[in-house]
Amino acid sequence: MNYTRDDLAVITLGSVLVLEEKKKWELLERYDAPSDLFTEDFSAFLIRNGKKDVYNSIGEAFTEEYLSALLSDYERKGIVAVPYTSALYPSPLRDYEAKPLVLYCMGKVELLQEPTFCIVGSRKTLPNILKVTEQIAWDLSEHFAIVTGAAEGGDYAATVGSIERGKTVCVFPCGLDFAVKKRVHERVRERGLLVSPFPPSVSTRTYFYHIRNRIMAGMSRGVLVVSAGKKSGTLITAHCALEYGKPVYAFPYTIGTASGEGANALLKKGAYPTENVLDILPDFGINFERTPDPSLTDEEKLVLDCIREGEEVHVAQIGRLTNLDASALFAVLSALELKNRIVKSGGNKFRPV
Amino acid sequence: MLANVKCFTLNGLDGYAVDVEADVNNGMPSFELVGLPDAAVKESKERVRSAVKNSGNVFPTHKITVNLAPADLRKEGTQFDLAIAVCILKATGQLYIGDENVVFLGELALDGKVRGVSGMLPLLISARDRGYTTFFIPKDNENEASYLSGITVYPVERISEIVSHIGGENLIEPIRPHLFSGSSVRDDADLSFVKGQAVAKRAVEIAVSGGHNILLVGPPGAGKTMLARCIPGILPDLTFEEALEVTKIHSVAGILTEEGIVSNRPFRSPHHTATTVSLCGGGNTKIHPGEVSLAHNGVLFLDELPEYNRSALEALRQPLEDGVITIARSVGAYRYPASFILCASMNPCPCGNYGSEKPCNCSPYDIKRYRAKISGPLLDRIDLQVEVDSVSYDDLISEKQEEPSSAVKLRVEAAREIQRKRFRGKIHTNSEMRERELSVFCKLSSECETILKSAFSRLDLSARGRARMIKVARTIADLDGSAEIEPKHILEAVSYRTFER
Repeated sequence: MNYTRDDLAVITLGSVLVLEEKKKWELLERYDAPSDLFTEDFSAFLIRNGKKDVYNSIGEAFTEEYLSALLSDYERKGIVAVPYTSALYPSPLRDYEAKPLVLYCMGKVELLQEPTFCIVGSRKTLPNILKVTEQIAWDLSEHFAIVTGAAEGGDYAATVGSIERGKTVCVFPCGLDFAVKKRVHERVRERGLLVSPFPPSVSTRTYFYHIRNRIMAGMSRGVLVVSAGKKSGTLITAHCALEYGKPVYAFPYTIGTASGEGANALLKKGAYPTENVLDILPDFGINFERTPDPSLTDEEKLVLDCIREGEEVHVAQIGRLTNLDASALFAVLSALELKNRIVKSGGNKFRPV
Repeated sequence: MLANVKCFTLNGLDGYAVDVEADVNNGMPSFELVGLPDAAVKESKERVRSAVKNSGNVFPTHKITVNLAPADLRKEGTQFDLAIAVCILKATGQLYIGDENVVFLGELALDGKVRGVSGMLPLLISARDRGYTTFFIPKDNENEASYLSGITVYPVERISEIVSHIGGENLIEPIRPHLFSGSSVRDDADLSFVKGQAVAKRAVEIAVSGGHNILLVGPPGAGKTMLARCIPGILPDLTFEEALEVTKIHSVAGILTEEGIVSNRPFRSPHHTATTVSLCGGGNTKIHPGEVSLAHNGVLFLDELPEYNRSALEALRQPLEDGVITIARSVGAYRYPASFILCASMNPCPCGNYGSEKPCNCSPYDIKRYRAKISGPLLDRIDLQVEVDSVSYDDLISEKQEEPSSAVKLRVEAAREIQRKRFRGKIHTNSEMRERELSVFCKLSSECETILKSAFSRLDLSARGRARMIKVARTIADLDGSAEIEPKHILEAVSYRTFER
């Protein structure tokens, strides 16, 4: 990685923990170029400002020893710091006011240059929606890198769905030292990209989620909300996207579904109702040809229709409606599950996908 | 004067002959017991002295030395009392026995009564296998001995009876062999009382037919325990050989009932506070069989699986795979059979309501953590993982006739018969198949392979998980009466492995 003097100044400033991000931007505004920070005399600086400790430690940071130690630390951890002055910095983010100084990355940094699409969902997402999310993430990842959070539920499904193509970007609300806790994120580190706007050693705080969500919306061409409760954090991402004038897509939900109230609210505000990838890709001028579904036997069709009729159907009820005996029914259900047409939702109940 | 008689001691389930030798000499009156006796055997000196005196015989006031040979083998248990007493009587000429191969087993009371000992059946069986045919045993152990043929067993209540019997007066009637009549009474757990639960019932039927392990997941009060209690009722009856195996273990553990033989399949349900040793077996001086061995040929039911001590559960892994457990301690390594059906139950989440009508207030993380208490390798060994539904009130009072256990048992027995013919004695059930049998009896069509392959990647199966899934499919095919494993059998087997972690 080749850094300019400006890049190095931003990376150094980014690593200083005693100063808030906002103050760092204010500091940078005083200079023509960030590299001027290297020549600044911070001991004189503190007389003008009076905050001795803070500017003392900034002064300590802008030395060659600190910088080389910092860079070798990042290298050892496999972290690549991408400052906003770098060519690698995602172009959609550049124009925003609240862009992060530095993006800390692990994995395929070149994914930052690709057009990206954001898929977010809440932790409590219905099992059939998870399946649909996986599918749509797979379909979209052919044309976009998929940006998503790192939580359970919807985010997880989007990650799993897109990682096979190696085009997953997971954005963390904490430093990368704390990021990889799940197996799936190890795979993303190997095949995709882990991103955090926070220095590696910073652990998470509540308001970090907000910052993270804003970045996800900022770097993407569009946002798909697969599930969101009434007060879900996912809505922040959607609202940021609306603010930036980016298209927001949402799955429609049945009235009364707790995990979909937020998504329905978005639809009322003008998000595009979405069922599958065909509702998204034409907006970006992309033609998509769906691979035909695997064929179903008559019994499978019968059972599938029965499950599609109700929203969530219990095995016993399917048995009653289709008159199949237990063993035959389980075989059919299992076949449908393997063909990705239904999904088990706990308590021997099934949902259509 | 010198005399000797035979006795037996146990090492695990195997008995070893012990020569009890007594030498009565002139000299300072004393009573020495040598030959590596443990504490209980050492104490027999005092019991023998009082018992001989109080049964109307004379305890010699001489220098007495009793040796238990082979002297390097550790002697356990209280069954030596009778042999030592008889040997002293023989050495002092109060009793004459020509045949040196008569075996005496029994504990003595101070008044000369003979008390029952544990482990009688394995002692008798191993003695019989070594060619001994005449036995004197406590009357308390009469029933246990009555199922063995080809030996003459005299039940005795007092030492004096032996003296008079050998002297030719008041002959003791030898035990008449009983015929094994199979299972006797059943308790009242019957599948006809379990309402609904089509999935779980079918899974239980498959588990029992092929000897597979099963995990029942369901909200509290759904009937998991009740289902589990029905399992012994649909298991095929114990054969005589199986019953003897089980009785041997129960006899060693000292938990045999009056009946003398275990005629029903054991159903063991240790509480979740059970320790590793209580589950697997062990102990300081005497190595007791654990719950896994007591459940041999039957069912080990672990209710509320995540509540068990983690290390205790992990210890089950090896017996689940091998069907035997070898317990190694400083005093020696003991091997007990432990071939059982593991039936476990658990709630789907900490609050218990996940997937039921009632609202579940657990976060996905809570649920994951709760389920992670069951380790992957253990879950891998549980072939069938099914959800038990919460029962609605309407179901409970419905008059719909559910299939009784007896009807299910018929199907199970038919499936077991197919397996018995297939394996011809070497193994009994599909679950015991090894790679060799799998390759011979479980050939898969290309269509089946395709299904299995997609299930393999989807469910993140291990190689063992795959083999176990094929075994379950084999059992389903057997229940179906089909010689080949068809796609529908594989698909059904896949549907029972869906417990998400």
